[in-house]
Amino acid sequence: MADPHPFYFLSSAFTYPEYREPRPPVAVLLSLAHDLGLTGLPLETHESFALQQLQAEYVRLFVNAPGGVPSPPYASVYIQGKGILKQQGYEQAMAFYGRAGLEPAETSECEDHIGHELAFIGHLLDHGQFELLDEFVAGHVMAWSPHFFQRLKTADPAYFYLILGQVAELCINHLIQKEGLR
Amino acid sequence: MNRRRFIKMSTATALTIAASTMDGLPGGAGLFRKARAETAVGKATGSMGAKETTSVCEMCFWRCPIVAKVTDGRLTKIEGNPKSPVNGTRVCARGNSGVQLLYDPDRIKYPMKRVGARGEGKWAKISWDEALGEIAHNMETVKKKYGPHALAYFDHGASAENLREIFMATGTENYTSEPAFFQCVGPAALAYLETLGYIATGTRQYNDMAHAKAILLVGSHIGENVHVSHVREFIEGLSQGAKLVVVDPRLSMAAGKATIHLPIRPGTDNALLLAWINYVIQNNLYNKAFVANTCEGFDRLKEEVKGYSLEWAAKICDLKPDGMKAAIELLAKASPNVNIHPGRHATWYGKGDVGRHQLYAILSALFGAVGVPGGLYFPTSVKVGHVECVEQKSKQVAPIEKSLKDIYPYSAMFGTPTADVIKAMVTGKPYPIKLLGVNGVNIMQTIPDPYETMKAIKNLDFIFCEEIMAGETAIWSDIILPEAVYLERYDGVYAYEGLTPYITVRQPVLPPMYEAKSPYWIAANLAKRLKVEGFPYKDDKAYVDDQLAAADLSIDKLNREGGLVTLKGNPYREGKDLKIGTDSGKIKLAVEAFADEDLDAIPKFEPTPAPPKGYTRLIYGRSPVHTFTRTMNNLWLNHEVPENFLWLNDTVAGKLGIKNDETVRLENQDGKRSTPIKVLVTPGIRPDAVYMAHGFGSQSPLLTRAYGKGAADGFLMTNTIADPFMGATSKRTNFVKIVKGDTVLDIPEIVPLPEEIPRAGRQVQAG
Repeated sequence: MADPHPFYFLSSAFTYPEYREPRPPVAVLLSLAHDLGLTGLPLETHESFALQQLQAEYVRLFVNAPGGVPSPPYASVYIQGKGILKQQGYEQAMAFYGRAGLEPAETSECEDHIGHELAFIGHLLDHGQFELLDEFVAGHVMAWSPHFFQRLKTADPAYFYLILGQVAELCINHLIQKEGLR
Repeated sequence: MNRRRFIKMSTATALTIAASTMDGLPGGAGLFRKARAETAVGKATGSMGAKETTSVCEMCFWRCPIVAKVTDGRLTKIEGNPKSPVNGTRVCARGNSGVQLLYDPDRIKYPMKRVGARGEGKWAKISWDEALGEIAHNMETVKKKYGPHALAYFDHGASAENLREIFMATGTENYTSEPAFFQCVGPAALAYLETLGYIATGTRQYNDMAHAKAILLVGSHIGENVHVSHVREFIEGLSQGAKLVVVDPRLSMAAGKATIHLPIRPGTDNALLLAWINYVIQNNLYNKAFVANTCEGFDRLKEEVKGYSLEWAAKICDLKPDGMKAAIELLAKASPNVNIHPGRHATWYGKGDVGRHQLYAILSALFGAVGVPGGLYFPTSVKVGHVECVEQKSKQVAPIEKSLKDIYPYSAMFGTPTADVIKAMVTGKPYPIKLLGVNGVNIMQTIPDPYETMKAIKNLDFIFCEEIMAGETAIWSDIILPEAVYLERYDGVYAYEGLTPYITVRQPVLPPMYEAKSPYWIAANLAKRLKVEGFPYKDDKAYVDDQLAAADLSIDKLNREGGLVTLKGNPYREGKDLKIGTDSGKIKLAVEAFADEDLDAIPKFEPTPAPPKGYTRLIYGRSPVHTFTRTMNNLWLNHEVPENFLWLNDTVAGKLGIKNDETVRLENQDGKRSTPIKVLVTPGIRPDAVYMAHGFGSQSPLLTRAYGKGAADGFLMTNTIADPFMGATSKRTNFVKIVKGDTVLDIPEIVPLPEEIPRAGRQVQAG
């Protein structure tokens, strides 16, 4: 059984960086990257990991930015290609959460945010709900996340988010192979 | 990728994940909890079975009553409120598209603080506490350092009122400098107030097109400028047989339906109106009983306009005398049920703008078309409470030696002229202005000469904005506050004083997304930090309920009535019921108060300078699916009309070798160039003007869909003439050449200019 913790970690890493000490998540990310075979990465923290820079970069990539948010982190933006929030992608995500007997805790984010969906994968792994996991990943996550990761990659992201996107995509792909998902 | 390594994570990864989890990172498993209620799956989609909430639209300022349909916590459809006497179940394209505003990924989601240079668009997300703390700190610091008048507020719309009270409590005289007034309706509002005793045109227009036998539109292009009830009344009037006279240099949508279209030379409308008034008087076409009983100043009017003949005006206006005569006779024949449309956007040429609207009002009065079906009517007073969140005694303007409100005789009653506030920011005279709050207005695209506005912003110590979408103002702000969309908040009570009056309220159909807050919440919490006493209500709902109490209503009661109650109207008045609200109780055909301020009691014709050689005049208007710059990024509306076109006369285009759909730029008299714009070659515009719809050509890269689409008229407006009554700024006093490739093309003069009209110099001095 795959470990849910990387997904919980990735979920956290896709939320706004507010921690006091940026080193642990950076170290985890680089370590995860190393485990996944992403080679040639510096294991030490880079100066671009400074919290204020990460915050500005998070806002640029995911919140508000000149040129528009280059990589909106919401399923709804991609599924059906409407480009707006709370549409079919959101409905799909909410339906999956409901089938697992869960509801999103109150946060300020839309519930089809990549962070929510990665955490949900972690939960399904944690609780051995593989059939639902199969449906969720194959029928929903894979319908939009490759587009999201591609847009993130082409947004010329700061190093942390470049690696984060690659690691998250590799984790999902690996999960599909490991668990024999569709 | 090595599966084995992933399945059995390295010790380092496991340890660090554990460490980071312990570090209290957000996200992760904590994002979910056990469902408290059975989650509905597989419900009907769309608006079927939706929860319906009545509210009020804010996609434009017309504010149609609406019903919002919510399914599974998601807004799925917006329709008109069937109880509404003005729009019924109808909403316009923008009203429908409120869904897209709510769910636009580019909307401002969190309070943000600038971390890059001003204008760079680089921010960090911050808490509300930090954002409001920083604003309060800067307001106090600037006030202490420079005095209260160093604070200024540019505002617009329903959401701006709460924060305005905070600015009033600081003691600044610059608590409102509404571009919607000083760059739009101001001259019209003053003209009607002084002539008829009430503001017949403003946010509301009290003109009864549905029952008119004839309608006159001067420059108003209803149909391109869409407000649902307005268009319905216009169409109703035409379908009942109303004749239509349209005075417009362009074959607008309305002109296309006209009985008579007079394609007038831009800047000469007052000549036509004066000649018409003279013709009406000389030919006894006026309503003698109405004038005798209700008006004053007739003899003076008769004397002052007697020199303006149709033949003279025909030369000035480049119109045929026969057409002018036929038009005024057609209007006179319909008297008194004739609708001299009061217009709204009035800041055209600076000097003659109040006069133009005064002449409309005079024409209405001469026809007796005041307080009658088809003419101008009177608003019915609707009793609702006016609630102030900060007591009046706490909102006294601090003493001031040289006031910006004293520059023009009529600005003080409406606010501080926007252009003079900007001038003070740039020059520090008559006093420095160092802090600006902006709410609900795109100051770069609304106020002419955005280059001067940018200069002014650079001189500020601090600028913040309360916004929904990240327009040009947000780019320049130090702090951005995310305002709840109109579908997520309560606002004031909407008391409609039109033909069938009604009371309704805006109320949230859904809770605010992200960390957006209502205007009331924002102002109340800023007040706490500034130690401004007020905002006594426990929440926004209590604030609205208190206003409704005066009408023996509450939100709950109103909701039981379908969200709207109608009242008996009293729009038409005659005999002793016809009370004119001027100080004399009469309609003033000559406004002596203007003469007391060395202004004309009755407008005189003063020519508006024509374009310099090689240039043409830039005129502008509205797109039917957009509200200024506000809706440009909306998915549905952007899909319908993503960009504007430059209307160019076909003869001029032929001489310049420009083809339909070709992309050009414009260069104005001061060398400012537009972004690229496609050309619409058409005989439907005069050769001495070009036209584009306003609101396009966004310069904010934060607006993904709207950025750089078409051209912005405002960025070509660097020459303004101040209106001498209130300091409103002209917008149709700018001239352009066409730039094709790298070549700047002189515009050929097809229509000769009469000697009475001077030509503007190339570098035109601001008035």
